[in-house]
Amino acid sequence: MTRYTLSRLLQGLVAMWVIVTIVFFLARLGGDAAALLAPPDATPEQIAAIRLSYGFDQPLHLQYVDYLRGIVTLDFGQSVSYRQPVVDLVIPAMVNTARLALAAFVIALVLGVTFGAIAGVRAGTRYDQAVRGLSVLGQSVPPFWLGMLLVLLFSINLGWLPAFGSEGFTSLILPACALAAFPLASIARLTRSSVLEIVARDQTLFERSKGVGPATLMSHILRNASLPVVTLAGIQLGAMFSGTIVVENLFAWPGVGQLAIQGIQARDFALIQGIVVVNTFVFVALLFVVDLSYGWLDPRVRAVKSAVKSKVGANVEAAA
Amino acid sequence: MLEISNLTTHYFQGGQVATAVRGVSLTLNKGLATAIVGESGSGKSTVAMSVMRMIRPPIGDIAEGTIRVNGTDVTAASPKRMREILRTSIGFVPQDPTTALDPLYTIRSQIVEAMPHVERNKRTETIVELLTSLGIADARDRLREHPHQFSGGMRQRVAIAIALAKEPDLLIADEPTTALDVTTQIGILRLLDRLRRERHLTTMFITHDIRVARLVCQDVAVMYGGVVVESGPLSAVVEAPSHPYTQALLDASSLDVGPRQRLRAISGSPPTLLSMPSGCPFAPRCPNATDICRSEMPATTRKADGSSFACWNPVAS
Ligand SMILES: Nc1ncnc2c1ncn2[C@@H]1O[C@H](COP(=O)(O)OP(=O)(O)O)[C@@H](O)[C@H]1O
Ligand code: SF4
Ligand SMILES: [Mg+2]
Repeated sequence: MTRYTLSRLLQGLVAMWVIVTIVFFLARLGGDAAALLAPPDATPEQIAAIRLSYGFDQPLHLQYVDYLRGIVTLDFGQSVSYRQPVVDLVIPAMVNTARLALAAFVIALVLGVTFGAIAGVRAGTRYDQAVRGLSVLGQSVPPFWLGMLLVLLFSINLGWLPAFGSEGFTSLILPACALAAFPLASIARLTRSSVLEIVARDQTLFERSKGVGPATLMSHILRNASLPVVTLAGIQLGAMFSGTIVVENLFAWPGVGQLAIQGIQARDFALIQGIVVVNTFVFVALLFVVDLSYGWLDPRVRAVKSAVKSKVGANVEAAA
Repeated sequence: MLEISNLTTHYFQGGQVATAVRGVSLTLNKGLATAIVGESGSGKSTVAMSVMRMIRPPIGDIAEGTIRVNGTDVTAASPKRMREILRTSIGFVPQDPTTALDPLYTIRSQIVEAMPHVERNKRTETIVELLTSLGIADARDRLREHPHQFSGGMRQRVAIAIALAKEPDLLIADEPTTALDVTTQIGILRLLDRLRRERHLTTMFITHDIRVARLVCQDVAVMYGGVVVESGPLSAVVEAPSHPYTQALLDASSLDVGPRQRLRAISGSPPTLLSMPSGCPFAPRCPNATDICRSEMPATTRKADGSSFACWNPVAS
């Protein structure tokens, strides 16, 4: 298990390095970066000043070393539009985005797996039909529209929950629900079909032949059915971390999405670069966690050495 | 031990009712192995699944008949009572252990589930003893391993351990060697035979291969089209078959066929459930068929040697 963990960790670090390097070259090899960053009516002197302040006049390899050192020491430079270190902007925004994404994720995972599993076990019943219908709906409703609907209903009409902002727990509920609808629906659908497939397998028949109770049987079915769901859930969580822009704007939620839009509008190079790097890190970290839970759930994934062992065993048995 | 009487089992196939087993009566002698023989699709597995009550709506249902396991009619048992019977009385050996074992759980946890009656602190010892007696040498070291770490033959031994962990009275083995390498098949057959003798296990041994049945069984029931067409002591049935289908099975598998010669197959194919003839199911392929065969189900005749058959024009002996 530790070997598996280490190899996944190494893989994650390499992926991180590759992406960060691509970002570096994309930003610098697409023409004169300083001219791109400058306002349209900038004088040549102003462009030269930008070039100097970002170090674009330095040789590329020195810039690259500086860039990597900055990332490792969490120093992404100074934001020109906010006149603050980029770290102090990106980290709090990422924390806000994470709060929202994780809240939505927990809702989507818990409800999606529960509804999907019951629908799978009760396939063909009214309950199953209802879950399937709602899933299609949940997957096709745009989060923006759903968010407006929720605000209209719970904030404006009923006055139960705040319509925007990030103060306290209650302000989290509406944006999290708006964000959760799509992943909830897709997790429910996948769980349902996965459970159906496991129920029809020989291994479920064999398990039932032991005379075990419903709880034991269900735990076998769910654990087996969870393998594809874990992959999907990881992808959905990653998408929520980077794709909350619409919902963040609607609810005035001060997350990474909003910060990125402001950075782009202000041509704030250091800020955008910092956001991309932090986002990459979060994404790679998520994939690492998904891989780990996969290894934890499925012994076949973490066993490469023992595959060789059982092959030898088979040969010995065949020879005997 | 096991008395099946007049069992009829349906499957529900896309709105239609398909009768896979029709009026099967069969008694297994205590401590002996009874082979259920027949081509694929003849209803053998359906009989076994009916005994374990695995066929329930919406897949299918038992329409008629009684199945007594140690005197209890399982067709009338509640789901809870049925689980109790499965937990204590019936062991099941699957066709393919690779798909029957759960790939995500250790061998130990899968066996433990089948031995709830054994005290917690004695379980490991009991499992090691059981696995060792089944021919898994380094059992103690392998308890924490998963199915994929075992070879096919060893996996089937683990599945047999699960079937035996509850110390059942009845063992149901559904084609237990079909999915295995030829080299490991014979080992598993010997093991099942030894277990039956040592533990006085009443065994239902399902196979499509009458030669395999002759190796490990004392009694036989030949099935065709969801019906038992001939049954009785295996030696009597093999020596003097009365039903043309039994005769055809024996011809197709006759041991004096040269090794390079292809076995003679029975011509034609078994009926499908939705096109079942109204009379004798074998009539379309039977050399002895006459008009009455096509219109009326043959009555059962008992013979002096203890066997019985259902045929209007039996094979002349
Ligand atoms: N789950 C099922 N649903 C519908 N039909 C089935 C099902 N299982 C088996 N059958 C049908 O029942 C008949 C008997 O099948 P089975 O008992 O598996 O035969 P055997 O074990 O002798 O090969 C076959 O025609 C098969 O197609
Ligand atoms: S009843 Fe008729 S068709 Fe059926 S096996 Fe006997 S002779 Fe053949
Ligand atoms: Mg079968």
